[in-house]
Amino acid sequence: MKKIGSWLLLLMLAPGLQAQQAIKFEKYELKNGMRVILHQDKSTPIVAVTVSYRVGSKNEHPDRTGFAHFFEHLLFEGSQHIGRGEYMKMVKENGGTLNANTSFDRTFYFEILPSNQLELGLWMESERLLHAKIEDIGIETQREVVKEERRQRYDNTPYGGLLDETMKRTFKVHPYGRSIIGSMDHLNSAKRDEFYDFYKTFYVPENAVLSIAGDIDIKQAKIWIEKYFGSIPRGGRPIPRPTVKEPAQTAEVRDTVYDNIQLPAVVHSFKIPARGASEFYAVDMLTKLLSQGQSSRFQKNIVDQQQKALFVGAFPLALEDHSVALMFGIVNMGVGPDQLESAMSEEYERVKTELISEQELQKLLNQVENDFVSANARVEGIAESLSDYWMWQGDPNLINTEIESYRKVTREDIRKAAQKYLTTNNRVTLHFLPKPTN
Amino acid sequence: MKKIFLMLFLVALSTWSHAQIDRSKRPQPGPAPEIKLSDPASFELANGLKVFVVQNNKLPSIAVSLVLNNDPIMEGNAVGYVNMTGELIRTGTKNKKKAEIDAYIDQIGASVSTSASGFYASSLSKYKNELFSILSELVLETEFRQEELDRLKKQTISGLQTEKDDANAIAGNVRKALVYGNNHPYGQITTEKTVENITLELCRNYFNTYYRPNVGYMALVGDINVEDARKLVEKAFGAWQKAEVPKHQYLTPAPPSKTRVVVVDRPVAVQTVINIAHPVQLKPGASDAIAASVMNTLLGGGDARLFNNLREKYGFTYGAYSNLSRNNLVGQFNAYAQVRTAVTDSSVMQFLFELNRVRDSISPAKEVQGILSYLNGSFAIGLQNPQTIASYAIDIERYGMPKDYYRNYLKALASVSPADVQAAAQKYVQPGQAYIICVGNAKSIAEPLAKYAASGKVELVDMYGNAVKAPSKPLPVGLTAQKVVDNYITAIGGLKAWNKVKSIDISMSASMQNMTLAMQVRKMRPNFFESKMTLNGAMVIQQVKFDGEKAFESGMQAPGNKEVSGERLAQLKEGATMLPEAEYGSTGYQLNLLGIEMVNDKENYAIEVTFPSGSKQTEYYDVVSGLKVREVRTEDGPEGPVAQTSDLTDYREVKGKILVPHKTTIQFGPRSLSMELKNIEVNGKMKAADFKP
Repeated sequence: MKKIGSWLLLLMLAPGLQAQQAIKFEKYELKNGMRVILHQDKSTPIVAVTVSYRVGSKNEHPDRTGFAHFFEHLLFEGSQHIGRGEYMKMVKENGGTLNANTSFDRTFYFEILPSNQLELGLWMESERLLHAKIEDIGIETQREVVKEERRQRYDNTPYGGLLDETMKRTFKVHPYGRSIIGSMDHLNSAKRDEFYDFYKTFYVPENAVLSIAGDIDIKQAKIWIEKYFGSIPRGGRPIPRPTVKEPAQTAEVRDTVYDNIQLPAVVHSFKIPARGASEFYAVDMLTKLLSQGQSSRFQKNIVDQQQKALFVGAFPLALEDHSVALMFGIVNMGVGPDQLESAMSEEYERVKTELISEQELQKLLNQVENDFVSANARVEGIAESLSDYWMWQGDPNLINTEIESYRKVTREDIRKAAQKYLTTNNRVTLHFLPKPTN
Repeated sequence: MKKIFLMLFLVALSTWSHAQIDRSKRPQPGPAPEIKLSDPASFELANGLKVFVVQNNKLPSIAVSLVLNNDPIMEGNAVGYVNMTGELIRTGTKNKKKAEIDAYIDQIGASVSTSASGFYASSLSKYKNELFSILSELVLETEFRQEELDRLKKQTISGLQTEKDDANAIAGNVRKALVYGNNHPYGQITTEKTVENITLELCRNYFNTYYRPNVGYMALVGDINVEDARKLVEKAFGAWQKAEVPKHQYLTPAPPSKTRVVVVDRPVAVQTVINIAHPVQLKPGASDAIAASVMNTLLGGGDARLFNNLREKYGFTYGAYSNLSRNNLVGQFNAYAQVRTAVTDSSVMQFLFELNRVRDSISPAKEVQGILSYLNGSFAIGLQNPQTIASYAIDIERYGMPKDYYRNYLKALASVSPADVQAAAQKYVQPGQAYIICVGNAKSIAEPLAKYAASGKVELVDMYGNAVKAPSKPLPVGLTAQKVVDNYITAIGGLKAWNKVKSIDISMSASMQNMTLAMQVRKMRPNFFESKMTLNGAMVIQQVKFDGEKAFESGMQAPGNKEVSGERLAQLKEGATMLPEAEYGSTGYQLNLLGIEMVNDKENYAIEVTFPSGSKQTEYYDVVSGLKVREVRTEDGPEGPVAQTSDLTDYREVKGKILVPHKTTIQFGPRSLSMELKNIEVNGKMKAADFKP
């Protein structure tokens, strides 16, 4: 990553797509290490204020899983100058909406506000970073809320446990094997000091990207950013980042999971290169070939023609250390999971042996282009993309140029990617079956 | 060294600048931005299709939508065919089969979805000609094929199957059935049976009758100007034939005269889905529609009263909200949450508290002002999507709203007062005339909910809202639980016959998702016991052996050979005797005659049995035959109690003149497993050593 002094502002202008105007932005770094990115779009009088912290479930201590996600809840509880329960109310009463999400790699907070409330958004985010309230009452309440979230999303929802069950078998060493929502026991036994330490370690300016998009006056925005964030001291504590690499898998992992479901499901997960790696693009296009659109191979062959599945899809999880290609199918009634699995495997074999056609490659590129365009339809989407590109690939301008990496992918690259990664040895296979009885 | 100085300097600097700002002061907003709302361009084709165009060149893409303004229809015994008609449109034309249509659409990176009430499509603007060409072909050269209908039916039935485990889907069905009733199209529920009745003929007729340009509103949004739009639409849809489309009228569903509490039993549930709902009369554009939406946002929007009470104050739920739908025929109010089983009663109480509070007391002006600001901001955020502008224009046409309705929206919004909010609450929120629908573990939740029903009674319904028959008769005078058990023993051959049974070996089997599950139970007096569960004849899932003293478990669910101890061992001991019911009169057992309850439409004596180990089981004995037809045992799972129901049917006499059920259906929540008795051997050879690990 390039180092840029805060006094040096770079105006990034890049060649973009044919028809779309390039997304223009400014980026710089505050003295305390916080990175800032600004994009002006005056078409609607609104602004998206986002802060991304480079802390996800992978940074957690193995005995304290669920911390990163728990903070996503806790940090709406209030701060030194924002009373308990006021945070959400304040955004709402000022005409805005807000939310947050937690991944394996990072935690992302955002507000969308009328453009005349930019300063409020900045102040609120600076409160969250500088002195959020880590108090017993908030911790207790959010513990209960998170438990309900877990019950609702994982336990009371068919196939809700799928990602956790898959990841824990895919990663034996790397913390991606641990659940994002984490263990309720860990959250129950954690002391207040531990929450406080976590906050002081990860919620520091040098670990954050502030990304703003919308109807803003750039000059004024910078003044406010300096005012509210420039004065926040660096955290300075060493930030733990897992250095462990997941060793290459040497044999297939196969297992059966019994769940509260009616129809069996099949999961294949393959470890693939990290986001931004040149090979990642070929694998990403491979997953589109398998499942994007109704003419995709899974949909056309397995769902429509063979009618073996109610649904089957391929999902790339783009992650910092190792990405995963997740294939997931639910059988049609009367079809066994083995039958669905062999239909999926047939598709892997086909793409390993037969080169895809020129026409198919063009289709994939059109789909990629359409995806890029749709991702920029809203200011919050632009702010998030800019932030992610900077955090993970060191260059926000990839919002304009990353499509070139897809255009470089050849038909041979896709076949090679299939041969290298869609192998039995690199695979975790799970069958989800209805719990027979207690 | 230099580095350290630099750091010290930086620290000092930041401390210094830190002191310079007063963070306790919340920033004030700048002048409110002007929110501009332009009218879209519009034109009409000769066939009556009305078209709106919103040009927006920010992105090189275009979206096209069609809305057909048709009345809903009653679908008879083939509910679901209207939806399926919509899906079929995308699956065939005279010249293209589904695979070719899919290939065409994906090749240009576009997306197209069709429904019975129109379509939505988008693509990069450079492919707009191709997009319109396929849309035109789908609508004008439609061809429905049997193979596609068969595929859709199969998928729909599989989808319905997965819904049986989805508490929200169950609540949704029951709510539809109750709020709208079965004489209104909104109350129709798609089931496996109605899907079976769908024919190609029904779908073709619907399409030919209702899919017509003269009831259509089309919107083109994005990177396109009016002139190009006109040419494209004219070319693609100019030849679409208009026709008279039938109108339909329905009696408006009325709310219940008094509040009713309705429970759907889902024994595996770890949470209860709560819906408090009733129909409302709220048409789009009604004079108090804006006040009503302010009221609903204040009550049940994100981070509003329900959310703050049930989630932030009590931690009962991940989220509690309400919804107030506007509709030309009939709308609906619904307040909802998913809460953990144990707090179901308290949650309903808090819901009702909030529903009454918004009606009974005037909301603080500051709170109302906050909601007005929020809705003002939401309006601006909504305008980011050019589709919004098109849909506003369509609403105005479709519902006959004033032309300047949305242009005046912010002004009208600003004038909503706390009194307006209260008036809207009193009109549209009726906690005294609502259905309180709870989908959860009835055993734990039903009784305490009775107090919320005007009748004082909870109504049990199935997953489609049909009443589950309730018991009718009082218990006969003088009947005791022990007598019921004695009658049972007589009914299955009598104690004398059973005392001659020294050993028994029962084999059962069940098929499940293409697999065969076999279960073998062996018993020998005094109390030797073995059970073995095998999958596909080979894989041992679980094997338990008990030699009267010790028990060992092995198999897939318990790898190795684990000794069973504690409560489970005690339970095994109790079940290992030849006829466990014969022991019910012994010390340590407690029997409690609960009453008469219905099982499969028949009356049964329900008895709660408490075993010496402390475990409990409810058993149901048929009033007429005396036979035991059901056992329900509740076990502690990791997420709270989970019930397991075993239904015993098809009693037949076997060797030794004893009666044994030949079919056992084990129900674990909505899943069930039927085991058929394949073989039974009475007094075959067995020895104590067989039961050692």
